[in-house]
Amino acid sequence: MSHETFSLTRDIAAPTARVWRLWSEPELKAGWFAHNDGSDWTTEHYEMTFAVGGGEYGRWRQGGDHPAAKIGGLHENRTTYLSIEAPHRIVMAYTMALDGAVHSCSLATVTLSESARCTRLTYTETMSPVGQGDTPEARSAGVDWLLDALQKTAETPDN
Amino acid sequence: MDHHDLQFERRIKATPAHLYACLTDPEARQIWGAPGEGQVVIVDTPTPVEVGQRETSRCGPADNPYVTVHTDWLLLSPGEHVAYAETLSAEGAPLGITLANYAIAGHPEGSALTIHLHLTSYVGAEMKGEFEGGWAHALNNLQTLAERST
Repeated sequence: MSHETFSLTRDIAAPTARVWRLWSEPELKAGWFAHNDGSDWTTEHYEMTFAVGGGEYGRWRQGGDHPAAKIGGLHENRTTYLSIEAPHRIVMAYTMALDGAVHSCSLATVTLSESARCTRLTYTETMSPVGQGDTPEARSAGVDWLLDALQKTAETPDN
Repeated sequence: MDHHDLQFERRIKATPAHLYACLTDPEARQIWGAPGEGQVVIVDTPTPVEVGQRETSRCGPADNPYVTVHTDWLLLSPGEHVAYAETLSAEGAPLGITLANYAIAGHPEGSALTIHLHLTSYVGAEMKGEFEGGWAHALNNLQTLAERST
């Protein structure tokens, strides 16, 4: 195992309070995080308790190609929230598994800062592959996909 | 926030199964986990060592273990991998969060242990030196314990 770190940013045309709600309220987060994948994905389960020591668990089945991870099978995400400083910072640890085998462990920090025109979101993740099943490039692509969905949701009125 | 990565490697004369037990058993971790001479680790809320469980302990000088440590188990693969996140605070003030990954492999002498640590510090870069020294001390203790009790 080794550690690799990547960072992604978004300038989102929405107030910080709105972006924070999209991260912290289970029903809102499910909309862009759990039920927003490609047509060949099926969400089997999603639950979230947004509190330090609480967590998030999701299970998805993938049937074919996907721009983030071209591996079919049962994907699981298990997250633990380690630090929450509303409305500016979330630190969490999570694992990803494919067909029951964990293939990476990660520590991720999300920070939100507000400017006059937008909310700057910075996502920094250190991930450690377990075995041969994951790479920083694949993980970064997956998070990039999710942040696109978050931005689209945040910038769409009446969501 | 400051981010630091560290890696340690040890060859330990103990089987992977025994080393895994030393890494996960609360009593064993109280013995080897102290970060320096005169320091202690006290596991206050022993919980089942299971993914998703959160354990609370105290760490620091024996007469004043003032650092609170929350350990969240992330990966438990007997004889192969252990991963957890540790959140450290003192009197309610956050100090840092660590992602710790242990990879265990069989070795002719027993086990080869590789540890990758990622530290996110809330108190600046000076934490790195203390952190590195503390881990080196604890891992020396782990080696001694694992080889003595195997």
